[in-house]
Amino acid sequence: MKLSVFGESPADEGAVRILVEAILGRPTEPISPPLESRGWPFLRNNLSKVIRHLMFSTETEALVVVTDADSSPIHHPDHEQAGSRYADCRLCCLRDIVEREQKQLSSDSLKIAIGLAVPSIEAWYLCGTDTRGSEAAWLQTEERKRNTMYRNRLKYAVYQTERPTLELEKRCATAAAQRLAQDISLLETHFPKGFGPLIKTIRTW
Amino acid sequence: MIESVHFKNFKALRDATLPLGRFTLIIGPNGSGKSTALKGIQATSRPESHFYLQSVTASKRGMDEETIEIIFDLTYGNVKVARQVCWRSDNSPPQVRYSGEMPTFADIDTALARTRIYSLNPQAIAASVTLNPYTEIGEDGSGLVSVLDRLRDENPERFEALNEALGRWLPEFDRILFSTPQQGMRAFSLRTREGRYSIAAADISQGTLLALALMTLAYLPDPPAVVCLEEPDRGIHPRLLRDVQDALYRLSYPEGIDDDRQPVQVIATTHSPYLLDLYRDHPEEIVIAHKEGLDVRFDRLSEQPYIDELLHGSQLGEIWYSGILGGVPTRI
Repeated sequence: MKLSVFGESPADEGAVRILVEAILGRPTEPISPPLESRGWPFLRNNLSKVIRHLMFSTETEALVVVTDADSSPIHHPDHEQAGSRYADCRLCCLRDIVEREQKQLSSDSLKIAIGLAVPSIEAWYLCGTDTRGSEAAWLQTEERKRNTMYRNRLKYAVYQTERPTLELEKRCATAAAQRLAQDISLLETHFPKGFGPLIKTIRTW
Repeated sequence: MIESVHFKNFKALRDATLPLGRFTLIIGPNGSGKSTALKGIQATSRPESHFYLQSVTASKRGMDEETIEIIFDLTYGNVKVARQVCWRSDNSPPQVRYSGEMPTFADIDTALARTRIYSLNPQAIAASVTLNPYTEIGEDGSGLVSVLDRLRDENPERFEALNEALGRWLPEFDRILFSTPQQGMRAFSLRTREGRYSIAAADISQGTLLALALMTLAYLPDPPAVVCLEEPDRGIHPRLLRDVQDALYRLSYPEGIDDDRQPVQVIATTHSPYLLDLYRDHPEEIVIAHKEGLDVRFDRLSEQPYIDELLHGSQLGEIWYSGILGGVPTRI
């Protein structure tokens, strides 16, 4: 399957691909040049263009979008009721963009799955090895209002530094994804609201 | 480490304090004193190489009894020290005064003498040079080939690591090669990964040369104690700015990459919102230069009220561009 990953950092691309392959149970093929974003606003503002590019200019079969929640509200099943999508929920926001594009293009030939890393993808990488590796840990922490500090602590826990090089990020992200791929249910259990929708969609492919 | 620098009557900096950390990125409009601050830091590190008349604020020229003062607040180990350099209008030799308790001021002078400003120039980087074992990378990047040659001979592990970094940053190349265009001279080229062709430095793209100079600086075993960089993003593709950030952090946080050399204090300037975006998680490392009439003020981004709220759902570079943070040009 030709798969594109649109995440917040080039370091995440390889790790997300490993997780997707574990869910699919088969290898994927990247497109070139790979997509790259510069954080949430860029991802939100450019997703519709990326969808059109992949559909019209490439042979991509599927797109996986993963964004950090940061301090935005965590997705809730209530958001999925028709007409009640929550504007501040990043998962809802991206789903709206996808649905709008598919409607305008009258095509859903490009398979699209969206994941929300709560509060950042480093929490996924810590799943199963650190108590901070769950959505519940984020919801319970007193540090939610100090998002930047919490993000840096998660980074330190994963990379042993708050300022990892891209090379180190890629190495640690790949190692974590390979570990998690052995038992993908860990992420599904600990990140039901952000990883849950991603795995649910991919399983239909 | 220099914790802050206070400038009085130094060019455009009539009365301004610049807060610093191990790594500092200064943003602001043209003419807001960013480059002047770097020059002031260099002047204070080697006061005898600067003169009153060339550095005094324009409105103070010709006035008697005026002084230029630059004061460093430093921490040296656990000790706090202030180092004041004063140039007088009578052009007498600059005076250096210390305050605070410190037994070895000479150590600080020695460390500060290893302050370097870089405003890299691709032509200078590419130039072949006469071999000299004591050459260091010049302000414009000249002498790079000599430094690379020495790195290969004296620190082969670091040289190999630099080649690997080159391959990651610029995957079309895989190795730095050397040649002797004439006796006693050295030139360098880069080898293409595909086909293994040697591309002479003069034929290498400007951005690649600038990237190579930055990378080399980051892999030196004994870089300068304080590195001031003018627009390290210049000429480099926005997708590669993360590599620029990595090179700068490699200098200032060597422990993060298991390098046992001393940390370098890095002070850089930029006009790039793309580079700024990369510092979203470290607002304490960003200093905004505000131009207010003839005066300049420096503020840390982390001291902006509601910084977390400002950053929520937005890109730092875009917020800066909008003017919300200040540090942008004004129009008549």
